[in-house]
Amino acid sequence: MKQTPRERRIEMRMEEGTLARDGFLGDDPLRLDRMDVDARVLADAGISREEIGEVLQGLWQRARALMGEAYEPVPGVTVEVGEARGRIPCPFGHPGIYAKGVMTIEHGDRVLRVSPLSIHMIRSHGFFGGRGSMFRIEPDAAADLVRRLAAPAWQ
Amino acid sequence: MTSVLVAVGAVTAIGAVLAALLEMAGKLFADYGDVTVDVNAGSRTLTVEGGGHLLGTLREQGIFIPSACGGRGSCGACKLKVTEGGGPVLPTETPYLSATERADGVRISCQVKVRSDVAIWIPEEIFAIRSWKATLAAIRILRPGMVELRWELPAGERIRFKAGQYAQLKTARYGKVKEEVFRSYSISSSPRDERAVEFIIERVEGGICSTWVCDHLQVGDTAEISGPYGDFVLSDTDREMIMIAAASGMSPIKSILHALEEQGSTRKATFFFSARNMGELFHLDLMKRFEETLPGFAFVPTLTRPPEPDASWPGKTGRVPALIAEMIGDRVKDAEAYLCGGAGLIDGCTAALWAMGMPNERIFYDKFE
Repeated sequence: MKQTPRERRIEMRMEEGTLARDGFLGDDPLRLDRMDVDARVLADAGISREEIGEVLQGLWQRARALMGEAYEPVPGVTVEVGEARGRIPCPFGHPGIYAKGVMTIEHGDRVLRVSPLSIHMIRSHGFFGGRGSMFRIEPDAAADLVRRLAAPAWQ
Repeated sequence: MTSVLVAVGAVTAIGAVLAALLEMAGKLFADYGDVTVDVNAGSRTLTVEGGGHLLGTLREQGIFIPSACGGRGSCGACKLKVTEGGGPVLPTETPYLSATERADGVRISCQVKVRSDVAIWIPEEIFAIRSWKATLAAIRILRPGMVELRWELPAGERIRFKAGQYAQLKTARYGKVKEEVFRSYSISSSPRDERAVEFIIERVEGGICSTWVCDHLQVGDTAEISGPYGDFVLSDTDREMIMIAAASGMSPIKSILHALEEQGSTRKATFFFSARNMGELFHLDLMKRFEETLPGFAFVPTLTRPPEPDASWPGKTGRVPALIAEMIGDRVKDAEAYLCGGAGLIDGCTAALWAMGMPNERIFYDKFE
């Protein structure tokens, strides 16, 4: 599909070695078009990217406050945050810079690795990372997590 | 077929002419000539070639404004006050400026083009910042994913810094990383060691600089280092000190401990170092030495994950705020605190210190940002 100049700029910023060593696109042949595929997966799951962003942001804040200690928001889901020095801008050119760090969410046999920037890109842009990239989250896995945390008890 | 080739040729020729015209226009109309930068109301007047960004223009003149991203407009750190000239605030600046800062003329210097005369105000201590081509003299592996680098300055050069301050390291291009980047690191060495600076650096997954440091740098390599920056420094009081850090946040605290040791200090000081497990601890021998040479000093490592049943961990477990309450108690009210680490650690411990009665003006921190 033909790209607009803005999309070309975004894709350039997502390349390896520009904002992050490994970039954001992984080895995904669909590149930014992966967003359309992911949007259809979410639509089928009946969950919005904003809901996923809210849940991940809530988990990040609670886990970060525990200063490295892991916690279980619900039985079978373990969350842990490791913070790192530095900040990174959004490749979409969205204002703001995002803390570096990794939140690891284990639920069932799935392990999600989430950063503040990936939360922002999911919530604001519907970008879950290119397949094969470091912070790729499969939308169906994210939707599954949201369902598991749907009970208000953890919030 | 011929008509297609003619059309392609014509389009190419028109494109080439337009590009040449743009280039000529740039040279003719965007030549700003020499302009002046007035620094601190006449304290210094710089004559510079117009057209560059303020951050880089000042850097070429030996004035180093702190910048975490090296001028990409992505960190918002290179703020300074523009009192005259500079043009309107750009949309790329607004996310980083508060309403008060905008009213006060504060700008993001990497976004301000010096097209005409401009007047700026910067803190005096900025003039003390210098830049060197330093040589990597040693790489010490502190634990997997954590190294301490020693960068020596050129012969005869000296860096004068206060314990707790930081410097900036400029990376080289490597692999698929096409641009050099600047990263800020707290200095971990003693301020008395003026011939070199040391940094503790932790590998960040996917990080451009930490990958360069951990996988590519070799003893003998050179890099640009500038500094000193920052106002997280050891205070000149005799109050009891509460130090808190995690991971590479040990860096400025270590420098402060070196400074206290060299002063022959007897100040009471407790260093709470938070780690998830025993594998994340490092510099234990050095901390033991500080306990021997500093009569009032205690090092308290704590593990936030329960140690393995078979691990012989004689130390503390749990989060730092609970330990401060247990070990310092009411003395918190009269003490001062030095914190370095991630936002979770800093925010959590700061809130706990407030709750225990420590006033805000005695809490000094360097948050990973």
